[in-house]
Amino acid sequence: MMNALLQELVPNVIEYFPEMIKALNETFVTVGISGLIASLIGIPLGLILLITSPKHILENKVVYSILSKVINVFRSIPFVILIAAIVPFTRFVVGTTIGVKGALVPLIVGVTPFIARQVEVALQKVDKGVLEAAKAMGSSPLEIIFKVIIPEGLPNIVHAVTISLISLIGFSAMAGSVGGGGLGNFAIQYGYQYFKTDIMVVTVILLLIIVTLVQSIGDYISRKLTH
Amino acid sequence: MIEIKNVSKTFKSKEAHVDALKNVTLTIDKGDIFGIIGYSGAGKSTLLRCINGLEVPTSGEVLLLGQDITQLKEKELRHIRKKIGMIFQHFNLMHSKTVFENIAYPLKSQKLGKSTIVNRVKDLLRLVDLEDKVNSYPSQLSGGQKQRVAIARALATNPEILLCDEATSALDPQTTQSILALLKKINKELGITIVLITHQMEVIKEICNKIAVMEHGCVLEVGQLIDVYTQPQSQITQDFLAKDMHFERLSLPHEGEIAKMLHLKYIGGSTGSPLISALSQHFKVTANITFGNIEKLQDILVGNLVIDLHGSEEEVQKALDYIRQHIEVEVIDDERIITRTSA
Repeated sequence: MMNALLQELVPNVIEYFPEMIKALNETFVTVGISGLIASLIGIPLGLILLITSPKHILENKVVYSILSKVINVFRSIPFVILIAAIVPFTRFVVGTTIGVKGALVPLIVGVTPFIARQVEVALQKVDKGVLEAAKAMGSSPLEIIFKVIIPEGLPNIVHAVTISLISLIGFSAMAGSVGGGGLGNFAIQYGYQYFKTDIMVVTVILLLIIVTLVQSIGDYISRKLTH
Repeated sequence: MIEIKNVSKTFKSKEAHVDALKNVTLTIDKGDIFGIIGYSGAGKSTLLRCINGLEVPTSGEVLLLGQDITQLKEKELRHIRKKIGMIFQHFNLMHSKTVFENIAYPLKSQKLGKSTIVNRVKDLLRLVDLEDKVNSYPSQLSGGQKQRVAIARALATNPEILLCDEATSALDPQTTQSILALLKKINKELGITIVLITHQMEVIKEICNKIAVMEHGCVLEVGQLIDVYTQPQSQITQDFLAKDMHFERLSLPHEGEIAKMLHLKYIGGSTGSPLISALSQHFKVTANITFGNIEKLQDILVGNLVIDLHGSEEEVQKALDYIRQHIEVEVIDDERIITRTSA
């Protein structure tokens, strides 16, 4: 009965179900790995942006303006163009430009500056009075960073990473459509090029569910960390 | 204990050049509760931050515990800051940490055992009367409780000096009283020297033994509270003091008469003679009392009486001379007088 209904509604999804699961899996892997690496680079960069910004604990005009400008340049390049522009770099790093591996490099390059800026803005919300209090208690800059800024800003960092992961899911679908595998590739190849509309619809619904899940989990963690 | 010598501080930016402190010299002795009063922008906050090196003076010396802290390297400065506690208007507690963790924070960087830290925090919580809030987060506390936690945190490292940056400005009058009582207790029982800045004269009157008045980056007058209070030299000090005084003229003098508003100051108890009734007996004047109060400053009673003297010019002058023989009097003849007559 259920099978018959599905067969009627989404015949192609049933036919290509194994391919869809494979694509879904690829999306998880790409978003997971690139999200992790981009966070590991982006969060410290965001922190450096913050503390070197004017009037902050380690104010440094040179570091701040160089870092800030590089991030702005990368953020202003449309992602589709970035993928094409860094092909030689991608090939140099992972040896290929297609598949999950080929998608990872542009995704990391594309989303790291985004995370860095988001983290900077998130950590600006940490009360400056608290930093002054720590300074008045004789804390060193390192103590202020690790014992004050990071714990105090953690809910905001989680929030920033959540937003970044969601745009990363969008980027990964885009990377997929130009040979990166995953749900984007699946939707374009089967849904768009083969005119199988049900595949397109189901893929969109899947992406919607993933985004909603990421957002809810992020919100939940952020709330748990807020006292 | 703290000697501030010819300290100046200039903030430079592209647009402006602000002299926050101009050649300030102050001496704060051990055991003082030293109040610095001024309106916002007077430079008192900058001055306070020069004491623990959060601001570095453009010129001048800040001698503290025998060292000129303007000459110290960052690392030495951090070391000396551990001997100076500081509390703030907005408490500045860490929201991600419990009351216990907040108070333990300054102890963590000292090589202390866990049980030592636990005991020290317990003692401090007992001192500020918050033993039941040890596991609460700051967001669960009232303003007064937050300031108590901040005081406990500031005292954790056994400082010799406590700096208070508008510590009661965000609190209601009752809570302000309880925090001031706590500061007084800390000063008395632990012998900690307190330097506080405020724009509230009540705060100064309540706990300070010495006072400095600041305006536009300069210290206008400084001295024992009782002296500054009873003989204010500068206009701004008089303004601060007159804030809770009312110079209201309730009726205008009759034709051919003049009115003189007088502020009589009774210091240290009674004057020995019933002055006001003597006035109407000996002179042809009427004395309308428009304000009166009695305050206790450093255990000395200070009474204030404002009277509006009406009569002929000659009689009023004679009455004034008579009063001057008995007590301190100030003639109020400026815009402080508010005329409220029912026409």
